[in-house]
Amino acid sequence: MLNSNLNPALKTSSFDVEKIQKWFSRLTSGIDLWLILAAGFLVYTSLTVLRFSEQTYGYYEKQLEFLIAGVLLMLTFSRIPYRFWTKKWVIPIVYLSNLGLLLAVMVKGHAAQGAQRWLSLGPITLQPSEIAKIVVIITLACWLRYFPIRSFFDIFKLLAITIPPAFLVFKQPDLGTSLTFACVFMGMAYWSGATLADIVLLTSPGFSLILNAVNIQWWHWFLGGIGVFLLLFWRVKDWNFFIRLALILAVVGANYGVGTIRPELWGHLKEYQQKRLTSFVNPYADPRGSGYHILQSLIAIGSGGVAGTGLGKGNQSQGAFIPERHTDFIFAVVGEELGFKISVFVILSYMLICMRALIIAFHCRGEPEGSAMAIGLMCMFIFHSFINLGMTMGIMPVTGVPLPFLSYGGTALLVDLIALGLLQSIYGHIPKPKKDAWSS
Amino acid sequence: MSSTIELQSYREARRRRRQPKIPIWRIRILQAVLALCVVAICVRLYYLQIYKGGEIKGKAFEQRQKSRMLIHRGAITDRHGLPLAIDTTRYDLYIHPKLLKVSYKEAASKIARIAKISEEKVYKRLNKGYPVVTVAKHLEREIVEELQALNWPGMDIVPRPFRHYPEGFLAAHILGYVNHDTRGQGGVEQSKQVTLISTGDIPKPQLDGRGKQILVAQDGPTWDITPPLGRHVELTIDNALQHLAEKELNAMAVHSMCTKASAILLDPTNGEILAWANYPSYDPNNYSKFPFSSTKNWAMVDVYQPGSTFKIITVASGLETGAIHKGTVFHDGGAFTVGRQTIHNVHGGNGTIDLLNLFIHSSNVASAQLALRMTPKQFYDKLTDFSLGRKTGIDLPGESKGLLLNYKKWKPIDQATTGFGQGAISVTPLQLATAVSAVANRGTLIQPHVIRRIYDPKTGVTERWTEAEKRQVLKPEVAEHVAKLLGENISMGNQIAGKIPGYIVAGKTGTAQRVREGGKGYARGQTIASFIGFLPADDPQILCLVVVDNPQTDGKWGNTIAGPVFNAISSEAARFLGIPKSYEIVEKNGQVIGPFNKIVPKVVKPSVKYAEELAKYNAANGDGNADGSSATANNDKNTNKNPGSNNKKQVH
Repeated sequence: MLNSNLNPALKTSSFDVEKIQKWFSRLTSGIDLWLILAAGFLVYTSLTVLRFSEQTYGYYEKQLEFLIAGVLLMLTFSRIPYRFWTKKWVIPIVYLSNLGLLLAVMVKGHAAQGAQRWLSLGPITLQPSEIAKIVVIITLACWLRYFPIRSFFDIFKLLAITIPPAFLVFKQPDLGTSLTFACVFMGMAYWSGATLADIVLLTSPGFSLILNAVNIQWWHWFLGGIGVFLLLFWRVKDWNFFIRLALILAVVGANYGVGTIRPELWGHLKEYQQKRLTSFVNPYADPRGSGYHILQSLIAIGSGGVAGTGLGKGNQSQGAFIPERHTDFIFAVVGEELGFKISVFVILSYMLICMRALIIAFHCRGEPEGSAMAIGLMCMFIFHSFINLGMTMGIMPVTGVPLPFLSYGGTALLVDLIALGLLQSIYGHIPKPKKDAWSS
Repeated sequence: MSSTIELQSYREARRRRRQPKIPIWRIRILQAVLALCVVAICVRLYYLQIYKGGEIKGKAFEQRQKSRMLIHRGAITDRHGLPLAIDTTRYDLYIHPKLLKVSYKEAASKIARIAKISEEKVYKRLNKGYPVVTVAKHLEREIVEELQALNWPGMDIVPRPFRHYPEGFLAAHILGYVNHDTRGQGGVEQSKQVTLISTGDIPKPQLDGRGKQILVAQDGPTWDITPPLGRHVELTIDNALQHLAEKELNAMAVHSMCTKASAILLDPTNGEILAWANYPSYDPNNYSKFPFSSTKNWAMVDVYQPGSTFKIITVASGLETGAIHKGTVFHDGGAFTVGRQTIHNVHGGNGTIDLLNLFIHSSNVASAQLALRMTPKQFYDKLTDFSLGRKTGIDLPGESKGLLLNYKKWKPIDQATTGFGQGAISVTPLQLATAVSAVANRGTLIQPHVIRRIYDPKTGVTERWTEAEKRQVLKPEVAEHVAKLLGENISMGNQIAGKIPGYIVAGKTGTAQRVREGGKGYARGQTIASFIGFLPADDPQILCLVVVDNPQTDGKWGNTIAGPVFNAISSEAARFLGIPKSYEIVEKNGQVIGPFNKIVPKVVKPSVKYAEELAKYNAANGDGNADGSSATANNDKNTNKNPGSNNKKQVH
């Protein structure tokens, strides 16, 4: 005001800088530009790769349609206060209808590549397992709003919410997505009150499974180690020593039990899942069979070099060597055609998204549901991107996890953009630091 | 109003207070997890794209070039350019039954009629339920053209290279064969696998994962549609001499009922092997029908104890090391005791004998004494010089080193028996021929070889002549003296099978005891008959070794079994090569008089002498795998597997 008084020329000008600034800041208020920037870069890369790929002709247009729909959805979600989703009457509807969708997929979904994941609803084909990820995150956040974790056993209430959709997804079969639920659950539980020792305890059966398969000796060491660790660090003040001791013994016993019945559990997995999980250790053992995906992906990424071969000129990726090159293994195409210098930016973009989500969660720490939701979304992104990138580079087992924003896939892109919208919504509704709640 | 605000705020504040606080280190832990993931991925990306980038790029390139493109192997010819192995294009017929527009029955009957194969088989294959079935392989062009004229959808005709050996059994062990994966096995096909399929600078197409060509803009010429042809290999083998050697050896082998036999004819002046016949042999067109023992070239893989023929090497070594001189005499009492063991001659004592009589009487005792005059190290080093106990370096795969016990482990008895080719020594026939060729070639040992040159198929320009390694093993005068002694041995002695009218032949028979199967001791009554000789003695042009393992007839002697084969091969070869005669043939009473006024007897060729036996044998065995000459006729019977003889002379 003072400024405009001093400068009458500025006041009369139709090109009012201040006005534009205000308009712009209002437009972008509550929008985290870093998130938009990173996601935009990733989506742009994805579309470019799809567009310049001969074999995936037609996918580009489809993905563009989904992108437009997704951006609209993102904007909508970013303008809806996230607390709306955590209302007591909203969440049961959402959660139950999602379970219903998952059941519907089991009954009459249509299958592709040995898994029943897609559901036709009129003109659109949905992948309810993708939507379930967001739904579970919101539901957990809502639960945490009303029932924060105060003791160890509260964690199992969260687990009870997570398990039904996770199990249904696992039965599709979609191992990767069901593991996402586990990751999201761990992250949100840790953020909203579970201790690190709790998380170690919860993940210990997984480690038991792996170590039992790798080396029995190590597994025995691990069983002893976990007992000692829990004895020293786990909820030292919560219970009477003997109760605690009994609980720890129960945990070690459960670990032992899980290890012992590992072969049976392993038998429950489909054969292709077993092979995928183990083949990344040595893809050369079966270069034409189970190791084929990994080897071809490694060769494609490695032959990109620093500069890459150029868009659409990757001999490995355009030459039908890489299976699923537009979905799960799209990073192999990026690695070959765009080279190290762009691939690093792709990885940094994922880091940026996760960092921003973390920062949003931290700033929103006064609002338990918002901050937990942001952490859940972060866990989803981190898990998807790390597992997928690790898989294409041969350091993680092959599980059918798409790469957020980059992989071709309508529902996945929509869900990722909705997640982004939710993050924006949380970012926009971070409570301003109040001077004094009692005086107004 | 204010009270409601207060209440709301109070509730809000209470709700907040119920929440546990989020300590800062939770953020730090999550940040650490994030950082760990990012660093792991980035390091891996760096490792793959930059650290290992070059290597992986090479791998990718290799993978794209790995194609089943039609490449013809170069031809293998004899020294005059006559083809011994050639590549032709044959066609494989694949059918996608689901795409066929006609009924399986009709398709089967039509294809079977055109391709001349069993209709039932075709029908069965079509009904198997596979998306693609192989109906016929190695179809000829005329058949394929007729099939193409049908113009059916779902019919795939794929050209494939097809190796054809127009001469059948001829030189099978030298050529080797090509297996189903178009890789050469054994012989030149294996040792020159890379050369035979190297098409030079012709650009190869890069193929994608589906086997389709990747079209890349290039500066150079693009892919030519005519299938490229590898290098041609010219052998030192002479077609005519090889035929001759195989014919004579087979006749004797069949007659003597031996287990295996070999004849090597080489030119000692340059190490070229002119003919190399082995028994039993096989047909490389049909290699899978023969046992492994037939397909291996035993004359360079299996070892035997050379026996008396080895005395040439012993005498030469003695003269070279200075252990004896030209006039040295030995006392041969018929038996000679070394330590606890006694060495016997085959035919009793010979009294005091010089070097010539050592050869003539084939005295084991004198040879043993000679061997003991050298120190073990001297003798051992000389033997190693002669390529014994190590590879001769012939350009064929799978050569054996032979067996030569280290001199540090020799007992005196070993050294003594080694003197007459038993004890610490076992050689392959090739090694012995090579060693003796040094004696024939004035002391210079030349690496034996079967490949003469490698040349460009289109221009015929030689790309590489084989350059054999040479080394001086003996002093020239020593070698010449030994050759003279050997010449006199044949002329004067009783090893009459070696005598060839018109030539002074230098040679030595050998009748070795046969080592028992287990490798311990000698088998009673079993021998290995051999004869090695070269001619003319004063200027050797050809050298021939004949080894017959475990013959059953004619006294099992080297002179009676191996000698006639040597005689037949060498005399014919000398005539064929036009080697100047050593002396004018003078006939007296219908008998040829040779040097020293000795009669040169007429030795009948085994192939003539045993012609009836051979005919009977071939009739009994049907496929005639013992006779090279009937191989091509045999091919024509089996037209589906083997090409006809009409494209015999076709060289690309």
